[in-house]
Amino acid sequence: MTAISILLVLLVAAFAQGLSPAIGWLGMAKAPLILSVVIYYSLSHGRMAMLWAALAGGLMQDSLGFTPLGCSAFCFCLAGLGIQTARELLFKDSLFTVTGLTALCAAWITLVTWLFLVLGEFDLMPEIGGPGWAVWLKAVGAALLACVAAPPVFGLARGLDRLLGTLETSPA
Amino acid sequence: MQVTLVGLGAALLLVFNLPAPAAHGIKSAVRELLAPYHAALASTGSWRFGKAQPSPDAPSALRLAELQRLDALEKENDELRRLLGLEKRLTFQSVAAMVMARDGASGWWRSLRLDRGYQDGIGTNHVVIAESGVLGVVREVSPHTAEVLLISDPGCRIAVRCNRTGDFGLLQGGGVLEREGLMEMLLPAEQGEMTFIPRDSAIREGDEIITSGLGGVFPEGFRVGTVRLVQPAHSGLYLNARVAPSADLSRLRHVLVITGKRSQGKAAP
Repeated sequence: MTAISILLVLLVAAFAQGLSPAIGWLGMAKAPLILSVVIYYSLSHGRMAMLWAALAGGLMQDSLGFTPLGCSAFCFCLAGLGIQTARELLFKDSLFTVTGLTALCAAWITLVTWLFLVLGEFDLMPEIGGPGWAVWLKAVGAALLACVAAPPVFGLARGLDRLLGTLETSPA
Repeated sequence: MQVTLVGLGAALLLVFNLPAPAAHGIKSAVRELLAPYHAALASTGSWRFGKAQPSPDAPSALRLAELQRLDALEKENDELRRLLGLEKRLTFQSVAAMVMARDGASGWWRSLRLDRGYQDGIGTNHVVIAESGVLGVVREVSPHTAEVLLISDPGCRIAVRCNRTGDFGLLQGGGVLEREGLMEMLLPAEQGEMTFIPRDSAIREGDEIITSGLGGVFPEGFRVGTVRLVQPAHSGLYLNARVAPSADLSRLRHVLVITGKRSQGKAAP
């Protein structure tokens, strides 16, 4: 049941993220809705649920663009594992923790994905290695958008968890 | 913990090393899954303000909403009429398509997602145009969707020539951000850079740039943009020109995809 609910939330997030506009003055950052789902399941569910969310979410994110398959899944898995390792030290119920973590992860994932694209020699890789500030601007933009995106995504996922009775720990 | 990590590593290795057809299959499946919803939302774009009929005593907000709806419908009608005119003039077979989404899910590329795919005859490297000019090239297709790399993306390069002087060059998308001046940095830039223009060229601001047909992807003679600025290249051997795309890349909703097959009985442009 948890796997199905994760898939449902991810599909909604992927649908909305695909439609959301990339904001030019934030370095073409998009609201990281899929990442927010992964972080929700990292904070409030077990390892298997988190890994399922990270893998499925990563594949969805990469499928809706030219990014090579696996880049986002790799980043999401690392972020999820990192959060779960330190989960007991975090105030999971705090909105500040939720938005702060999502913002940090969004910025970090932007930088790691950029490294993948620069180092990977992919056919479709744009010349984004030019001015370094462009990538930093995108990372900051992703972090800012994460602050806006995370609370509603957490609300949606938590609501679905309550509806289906799949809540494992206290919700974030 | 160790078992999980080993399993995760194996799964990621598998994903990273998927054969191209398998990776394409996964991408296609996800796009096909979301395509009907994206298409439904995109097709309601011009009438989602509401269908209530305005009456003399209707609140002004309702009448304003109705006016906005009519304005949107009029614009869409104009766009479709121009596209129809272009389709009739083309000597190539084409497929009309609607823009469903922009810039993928992560915004790394300047791209469009169309609501037509290989079941409609669209394939990779097919060129996407509008009445106002070239938009980009199809890079990935699924049965009912196509991902288009826009000409404003730095990864898109087109062999072009100046319509007035005949000088050839290579146009590269300008990407998102300007490299000069703080204010320009913060604004999305659509202008591309035309390079390798002969140093003795008479190209100047306002000249029209069209596809040259060299390179084998973009057919010859389609309008690409207008020269905004000409300056010598750093090497001093060539001229460079800033070119503004003639098509409105950020607002167009209806496009034509040239499927590459020559059709019989259509008039030349």
